[in-house]
Amino acid sequence: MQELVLKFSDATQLSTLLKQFSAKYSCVKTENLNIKEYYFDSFDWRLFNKNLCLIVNDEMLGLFEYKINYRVSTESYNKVKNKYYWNSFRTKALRNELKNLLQHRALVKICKCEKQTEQYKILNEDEKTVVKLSLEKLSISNDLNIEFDSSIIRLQGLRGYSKEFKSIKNILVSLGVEIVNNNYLAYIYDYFGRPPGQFSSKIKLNLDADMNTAEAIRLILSKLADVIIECEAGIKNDIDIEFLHDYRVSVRKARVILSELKKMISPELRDELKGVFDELGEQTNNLRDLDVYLLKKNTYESYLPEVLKKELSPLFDKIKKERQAAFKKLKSFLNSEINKNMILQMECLLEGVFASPDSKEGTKPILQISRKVIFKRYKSILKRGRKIKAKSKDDVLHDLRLECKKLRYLLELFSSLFPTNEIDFLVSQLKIIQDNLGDFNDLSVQQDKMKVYLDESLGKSKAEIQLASVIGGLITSLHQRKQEVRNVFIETFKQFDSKKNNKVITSLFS
Amino acid sequence: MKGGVGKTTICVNLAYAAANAGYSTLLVDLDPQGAASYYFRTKPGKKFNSSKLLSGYKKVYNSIKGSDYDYLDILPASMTYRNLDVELDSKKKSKKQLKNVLTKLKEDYDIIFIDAPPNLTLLSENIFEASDLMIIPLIPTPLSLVAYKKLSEFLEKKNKNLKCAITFSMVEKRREMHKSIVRNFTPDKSVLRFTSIPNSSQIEKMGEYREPILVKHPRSKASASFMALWGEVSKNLKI
Repeated sequence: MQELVLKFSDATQLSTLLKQFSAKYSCVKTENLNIKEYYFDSFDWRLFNKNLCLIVNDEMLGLFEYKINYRVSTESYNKVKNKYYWNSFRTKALRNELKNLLQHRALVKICKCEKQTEQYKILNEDEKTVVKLSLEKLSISNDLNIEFDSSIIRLQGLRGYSKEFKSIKNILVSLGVEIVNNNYLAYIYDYFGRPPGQFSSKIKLNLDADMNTAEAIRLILSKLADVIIECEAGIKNDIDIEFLHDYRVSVRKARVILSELKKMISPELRDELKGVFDELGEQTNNLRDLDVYLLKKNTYESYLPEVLKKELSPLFDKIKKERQAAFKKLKSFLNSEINKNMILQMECLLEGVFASPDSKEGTKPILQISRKVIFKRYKSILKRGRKIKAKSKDDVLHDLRLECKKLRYLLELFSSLFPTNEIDFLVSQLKIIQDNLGDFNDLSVQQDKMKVYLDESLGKSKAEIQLASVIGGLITSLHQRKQEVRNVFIETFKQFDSKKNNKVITSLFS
Repeated sequence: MKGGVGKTTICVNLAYAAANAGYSTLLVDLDPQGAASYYFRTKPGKKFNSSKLLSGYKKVYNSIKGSDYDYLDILPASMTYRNLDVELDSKKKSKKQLKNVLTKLKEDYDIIFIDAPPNLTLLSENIFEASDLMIIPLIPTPLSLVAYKKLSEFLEKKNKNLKCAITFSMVEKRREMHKSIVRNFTPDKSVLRFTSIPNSSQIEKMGEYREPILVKHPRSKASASFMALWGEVSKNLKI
């Protein structure tokens, strides 16, 4: 539904405006409202991107489709929280709406909005409301004490009355009223330094086919560095585990670019950058592993018979404690001078402040180079994958998984250079084999980790014996599942190694 | 089957009650007289007609209008709907045309009300086919009961699975005949009996003030009856 936010200065302007409507429309006041609302969204704007908002006001909290004033679902509450997860809500409707959208992401408070509103309806000659108009005095603030006050006119169209909306808009514009935004929420959110809908851990790149490769590398790495830097605060404040995940994915992508395109920038620059990204990745390994294990609690319980389920609790209490310690350690690192200097070093390197001359290879167009590295990676995957038999060692599958990940990142990072449909298709095909290899790897790693916990829990007390037996049962279950996943690998790989996929890749990249 | 029994009044007020309860609601006015559209002050687009209604979801979707009330939209009636029977007759699967259109709309709305024209026609069969629950208003007179019996026999042959509910409308408590019929009426086994709607000058004047009575006179006895009726509808539809 259409909406507009316009600047509004004073009451005299209002009366002039209302007189201007009288030729074709009448304007009727409906009510005055004083409202206090809190707006919530995830760091990566998952609600905003779907025209949704979580609003908490004096009466209730609810998920709204903001543009059409549609109340998706609401519930009562006792106290406004600082953050909400999908399972923070009581009502099934809210949980169901948010579960797939948010997954592990938290909704955090964007701002508090206090408004004094005069509501009007603009009527046609049949006295039908065709546009809603409200005059709003807004007082908006966030937890960092950023505040602003504003007076606006908000126009909201009604379905089926777009001509009338346009007509009203034109009247207002002809009177010199300035349009400031076509999205009310965006207008409010814009004040807080993070343009809504702009952050995404999947960086948006528009690479020019003729751009030289070294410059493209700098651009990609700069965008990845931006994500890394933006995620730091979320990690330190422990808002949700996705911050760390996004941070690490960006680090991995940067490392892939530096290894796959190593000849394209000067060795000194590459080595310095590699050193930074390697260190950032290393510092975050442990915490991420523990976050993932904690997510597995329900899954592991489902692997065990009923009588053993509750015996798993001591294990997860232990993992929680380890997680707390790992979080403290990482937080300390992120706040340290070492980290700050590394980030500064990275930023400077990428801005070319300390740049060494680019290599000759780096002057080649990025389209040419990206085709080459993608095709090379694809052929490597085929070669390795075709060699894998039922009795091949686990290591070869792990290596293949890493190769597939590199290819996936390359396809995503260079996607703007190639037709969207084909890239989306290839990524979806790659995902099938990646899911299989990923599951295999996860089960292997979990099995190994559970073995460590088993060794640690061996003792003579009843509790230790019970825990050891439960972990033993879990390891057995993980092993069985790992075998099941392994057994379907060859068929799964054949799907990827198909004539169709080969044709698409060859036509795009060879 | 009969006109003037309160179909539109009930449809309009139930649609408002549903929207006011927070359900995304559509009222489809299929009566070429367009009374429901009139109450909500909506008119169809100049190019909208019966052919477009049957042509599919997109054209219908683009013709829906927002009412003055949150969560309530209207698909206004067109005078060309008087040709609907003829158009339906010329199509394959002539009884399912409306259902095809409305099924897609169900993705956008929690509940859809259809204000149907009186009499039994191919359009009526389309409406029966598309509906989960049919509310049959009856004025408590002997002739209404005769009309109900005919409708009942028709539905028994053609739409056995359609859930039906009787509601007595325009009930005058002081009239012995009304009282007797309301008291003694026993619907068929599978037919539900919903709250009666009293006769009311406030309801009669809806055509003057052109709003649901639930908006104009929210504390009236008539409004209380419509709210009770809505309660029964929502319970039976399990929404």
